Amino acid sequence: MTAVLCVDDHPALRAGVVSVLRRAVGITRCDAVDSADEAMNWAPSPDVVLVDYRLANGDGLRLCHAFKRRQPAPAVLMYSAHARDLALPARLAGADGVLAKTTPAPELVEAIQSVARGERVFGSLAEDVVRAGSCVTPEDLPLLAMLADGATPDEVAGVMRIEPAAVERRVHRIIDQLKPSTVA
Amino acid sequence: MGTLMERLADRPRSRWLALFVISRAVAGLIAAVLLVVHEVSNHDAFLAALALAYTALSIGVAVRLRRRRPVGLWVADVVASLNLIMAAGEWRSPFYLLFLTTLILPATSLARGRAIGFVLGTATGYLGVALLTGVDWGTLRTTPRLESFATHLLLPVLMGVGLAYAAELLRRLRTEQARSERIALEAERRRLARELHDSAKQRMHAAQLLLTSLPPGSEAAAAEPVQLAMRELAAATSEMETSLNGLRTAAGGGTLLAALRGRPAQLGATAGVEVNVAGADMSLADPLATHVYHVLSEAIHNAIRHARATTVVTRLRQDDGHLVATVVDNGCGFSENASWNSQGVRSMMERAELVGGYLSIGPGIDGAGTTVTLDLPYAEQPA
Repeated sequence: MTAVLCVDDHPALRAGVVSVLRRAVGITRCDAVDSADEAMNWAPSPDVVLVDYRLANGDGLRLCHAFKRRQPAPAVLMYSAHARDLALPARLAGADGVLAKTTPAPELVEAIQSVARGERVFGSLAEDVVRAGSCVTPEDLPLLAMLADGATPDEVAGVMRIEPAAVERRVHRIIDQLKPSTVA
Repeated sequence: MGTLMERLADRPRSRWLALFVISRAVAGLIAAVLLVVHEVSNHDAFLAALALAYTALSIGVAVRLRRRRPVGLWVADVVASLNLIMAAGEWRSPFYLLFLTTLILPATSLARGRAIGFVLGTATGYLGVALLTGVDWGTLRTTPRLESFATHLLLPVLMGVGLAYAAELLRRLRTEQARSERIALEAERRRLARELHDSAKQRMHAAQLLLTSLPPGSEAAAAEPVQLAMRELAAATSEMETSLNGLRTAAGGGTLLAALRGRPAQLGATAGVEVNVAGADMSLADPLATHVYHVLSEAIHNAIRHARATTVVTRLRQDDGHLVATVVDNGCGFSENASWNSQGVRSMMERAELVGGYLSIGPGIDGAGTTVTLDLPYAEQPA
C-alpha cells in the first residue's frame, strides 16, 4: 500500500507516470506536481517521492535532501535521463535510489516498491567513488566513501569526530562539485 | 575581367590585390604616356615599352602568387621601380607612381610592425635614389621645389602606414566577426540542446513508459506494431542522446576527437574497455563533423554495447581530398553477432550517403572483431 508523488516539470512525463502507476498493483495512489514547493507542501505525505533531477524552479537533489530531513522521511527515488552520473550525488543527498527515465514500466513499479520497503536501488558506487576522487579534496574523500557505503551523516560525524552540521556543510559542497551540469 | 574582379572581391586580401592590380596598371600607363609625350631623354620609347612590360609582368606574378607572402619578390619590385626612376634620371620621374604601388601588397599583407619597417626602408631607398640622381640643392631653396621633394619623400610613408593600419583593422574586424558568429552559434546549439532535452526527450520517455506498461503476455503487448513502435522509440531515444552529446560538445567549442573520446564514458563503459581515438582532428563547427561524429559514435556504441569489445581503436586521416575514418574493435564480429542494431547500421549508412561518402563494415584485424570504415570527400576549410 504505497502513495507515490511524482515531481517533474514536463506535463507529458507526469501524465505518463501517473497513468502507469495508478494502474500498478500495490500502489494505492499517485499524484504529480511540477515544482519543489508544491511537492513539499503536498498532503497527505507520500510514502515514495519520484524526483526529476532538473526542475524548472529548483534542483531535484535539494528537494531530495529536504524530504529526507523530515521525520518520518518518505523514500526518495531520483528519476533522471542520466541516472549513472547522478548516482553518487543522489546517494549523498540521501536518496534511496536512482532510476533512468528509460526504465520500462514494470521495473519502475518494482523499484518504487523496493524503496517503499526500505531497500536501496543503487548499482555499485565503488567506481563512482574512485572517479569522484579526482573532483573532491582529499579530506572529503573518507566522508564521501562512508556515505556512499550507506553510513548516515550522524554516524560519519561520530567517526570523524566533527559536528553533524559540519558534515552537512561538507556534503553540500561535495554535491555541488559532483553535480552533473548538462544532465537533467 | 569582371569575373576575376568578382573572384578577387570576396576576401579582404583579394581586395588589396585588386587595389594593387588597378593602381599598378594605371601607374604603368601614366608612366609610359608621360615618357612618350614629354620626351625627357632619347631612349623614351624603349623605357616606355619596358615600363609597360614590367607592369604586365608584375601584375601577372602578383595574381599568381596571391595566396603567398613573397617578401623577396616585394623587395625586388621596390628595387626594380627605383631602378626605373634611376634610368629616367630624375627623382620626380614618371615612374614615381609605379614606385608607390610597390608598397600596397607588403603594407597590407605583413603584420603591422613589419609592414611599417618595410615602408620606412622603401622610403629610405627612395631618398638614396634621389641623392644619386642628383638633387639639385640650389633649386631646392625655392619653396615649391622643396615642398615637392618633401611630399615625394613623405608620401610613401604616409600611404604605407595608412594601408598597414587599415589592413590591421580589417583583420581584427574579421576575427571579431568570426568570434561573435561562433558565440551566437554556440548559444543557439545550447538552446537547441536544452529544448530537445527538456521537452521532446521527456515526451519520448513518457511514451516508452506507457508502452512498457502494457501487461506482459497480453494481446496488445505482443502485437507487432507495438513491438515495432517500442523498438523505434528506443532507437530514437538513443539517437537523440547522441545528437544532444554532439550539440553540447559543439556548443563548448569542442573538436571531433574530443567529442568521440567522451563517448565511452557516456555509454558507461569506463572499466575494462580501452577506447583509443586519434588522428586528424576537425572543429565540430564544421558541418561535416556532425555527421562524422554520429557515424563513428554509433560504431563505437555498437562495438562496446553489442559486440562486447574490450579494445576499440578509432583513427581519422585526411589525404587527397578525402577523410577516412576507421573504427576497429576486437568484439564478437559483425556477421555472427545478431544483436547488431540494424536500426543503427541503417542510420550510419544513410548519414554516410548524405555527405557523399561510403561506409563499409567488415571483419577486424586477423578476421576477429569488426572494422567500420567511413570514406568521404573532404577538403579542409581554409582558416
